[in-house]
Amino acid sequence: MGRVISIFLFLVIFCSEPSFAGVIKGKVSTAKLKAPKDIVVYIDKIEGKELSSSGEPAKMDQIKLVFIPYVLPIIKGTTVEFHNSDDVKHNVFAVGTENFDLGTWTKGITKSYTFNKLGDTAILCNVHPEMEAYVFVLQNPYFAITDENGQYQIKDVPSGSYKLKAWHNRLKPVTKDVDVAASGELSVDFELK
Amino acid sequence: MGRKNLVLLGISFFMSLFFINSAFAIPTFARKYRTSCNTCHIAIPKLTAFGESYRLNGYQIPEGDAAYVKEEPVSLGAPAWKRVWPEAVWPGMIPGPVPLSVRIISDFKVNQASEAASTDFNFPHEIELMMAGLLDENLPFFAEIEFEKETSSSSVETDVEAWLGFYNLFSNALPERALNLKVGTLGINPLPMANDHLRIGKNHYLYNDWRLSSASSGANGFRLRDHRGGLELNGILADRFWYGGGVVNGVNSTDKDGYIITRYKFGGTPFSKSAPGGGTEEAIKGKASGFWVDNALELASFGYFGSTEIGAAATANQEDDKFWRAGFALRNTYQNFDLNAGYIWGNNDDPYGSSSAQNINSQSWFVETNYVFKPWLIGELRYEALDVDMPTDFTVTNLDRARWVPGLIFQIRPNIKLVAEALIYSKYKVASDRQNNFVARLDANF
Repeated sequence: MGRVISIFLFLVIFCSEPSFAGVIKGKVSTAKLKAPKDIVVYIDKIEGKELSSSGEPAKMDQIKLVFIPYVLPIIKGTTVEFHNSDDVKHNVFAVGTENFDLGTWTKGITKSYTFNKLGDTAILCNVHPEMEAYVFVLQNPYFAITDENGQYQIKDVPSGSYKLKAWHNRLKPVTKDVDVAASGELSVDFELK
Repeated sequence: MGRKNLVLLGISFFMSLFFINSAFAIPTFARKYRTSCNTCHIAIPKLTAFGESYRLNGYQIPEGDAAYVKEEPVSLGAPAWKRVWPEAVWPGMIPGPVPLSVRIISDFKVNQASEAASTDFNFPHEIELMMAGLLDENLPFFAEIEFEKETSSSSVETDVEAWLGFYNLFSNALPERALNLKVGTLGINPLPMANDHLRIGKNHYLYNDWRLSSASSGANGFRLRDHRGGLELNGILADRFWYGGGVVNGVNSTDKDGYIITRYKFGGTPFSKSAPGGGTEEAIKGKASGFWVDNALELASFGYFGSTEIGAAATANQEDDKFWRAGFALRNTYQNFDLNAGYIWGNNDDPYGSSSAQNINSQSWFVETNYVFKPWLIGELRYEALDVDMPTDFTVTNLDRARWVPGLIFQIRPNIKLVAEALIYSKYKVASDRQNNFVARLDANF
C-alpha cells in the first residue's frame, strides 16, 4: 500500500501541470471619471494555451432602467443571460465586436447569448436609449475589475512575461509589460487618460 | 524659451484679425460643480487663470470634466449609441437643473456734466438672464438676454448673445482642442486681457467703445464691442498659444467682416491646463492659497477687417467704406499685481460717404493695473486715450479724449460685489463730452 502511495505522490509531483502562480495587484487612477471603478485589468494573451469557458453562464440584469453590472468581463465562449427585472419592457441589442439583437421582452424573462469573439461589445436597450453596459470578452481567466477606489487583484497568474492591459469604455487603454514570478505579489499601477 | 515657442510667438504677432468670446459670471457653473465663484473669478466677472482655461476649453475642466460634476446631466442617449450611428441619433445630454443664472446690476451715479452735477439711482441698471453649459462633451452653449437702461429715465434696451460650440473637432488627427467652432451671435473681444465682458470695473474700455460721429450722409457706425452673428474657429496649440478667427455680419448684415486674434502666455497656467506646471509652481509658492495668483506674461494681437455701405441704398450717394482695426496688448500678472496695456490702430477709407472724401486714421491705447489688497478688496486704475483724425472738409464732433478710471472693488460675497469707480476726463475736445462721473455699482449674481 505504501508503495502505491509513493508512486501516486511521484506522479502528482512530477507529471502534473506546474502550479507556480503569482498575484498581480495594484491601483488604477484617472482624472476623467468620478471613481476609477469598472476598469478591466487583464492579461492580454497567454500563448500556447487554449483557455475556454467553464460553462457557467454570466448574468446581466436590467433593474430600474440600469444594466447591472455596467461592465461584465468574461472569457471567450461564455454565455451571458440577460434578465429583465423591471415592470417595463426592455430590449437587448449589441454593437461592437459582436452585433446582435435579442429582441424586446417583459419582466421576469431571460434571454441568452454566447460570446465567441474577443473584444468589447456595447449592450444597449432601444426602448431606453440612456441605458448601456459593456461585455468584455477575454482570452484567459486572468482578469479583474476595479472597485470604487481603483483597486484590483488578479490571482493565480502562471509565471511568465505578459502584456497587462487596463480598459474602460470611455478611456484610452494602457498596456504594461509584466514579469510574473512563480510566487509572491507583483504591484502594477495604471493611470488612464 | 524653445524654438517652437519662439515660432508661435512670432505667429501671434504677425497673424492679425480678430476674435469673439464671452463669459460672464455664471452661477450655473457654481451649482454644477458645487464650487465657489472664486474658483473661476478673481471678482465677478474677471476670470482667474483656471476660469480662463475653463472658458477656452468650452466650459470644461481641461484634464477631465465629468469627474468634477456634482449635478448630473440628463442623458439623451448612452455614449455607445455613437457606435450605431448613422442608424441612430448621435447621443447627447442636457444639464440636470435648468442652467439659468441671473445677474442684477444697480448703479448710483453722480454725473458732472458740462454745466451742472446730477445724481441718479438707476436701480436696476441692468438685468441679465444667462444660460450656459454642455449639450454633450465638447458641445458648449451660452445664451444671454440683457435688459438695460442707461439712466433711470431711459427706456429699456435689450441685447442678445447666444452661441453653440463644437469643440475638439478632428480630435483623432489634431491635438486636443486644437480646433473648435462657435456658431451664433458672438461678443467681440479683440484683446482677451482687456475683455469687455470680463472687466472688473464699471466703465467699458474706450478702445472698443467708440464709434464715429454721425453725419448727414450717415457714417460707419462700427463699434468694436458690439455683438455680431457669425462663425468662429479657435483653438489651443502647444498648451500656451491660442488663436481665434472668423467671419461675422458687418455693420450692415449684407456685409461680412473678418477677424483673427492670437495670444501667447509665458509662465503661469497654460490655456490647456487647470494649474501651472513645472517650475512655475515654485513661483507662486507662499501665495498658493491666493486664487487670483498666476504669475505670467501674456501677449496678444488682433486684426479686424470690414466694409459697409454709407448713405442711402441704391443711390448715387452710396459709397463703400473699407475699414480695419489692429492692435496688440500685453498683460503681466505677478502675485497681487495685474498690469495690462494695449495699443490699437484703425483706418476707415470713406467713413462719411458723400459728406467727406477723406479717410480717417485712429489710434487708442490704455494702461491699467489691478492690485489685490485683500481677497475682498481690489484696486483698479486705468488710463486710456483715443485720437481720431477728424475730417477737415466738413464739421463733425471731435472724438479725441483721454481719461482716468480709478476704482475700488469690494467683494461682499463671492457672488456680490460693490464697485466704486470714477471716470475723470483729462482731455476732451467738446464740452459735452466732459462727463466726469462717479458710480457706485452693486452687482449680484445667482
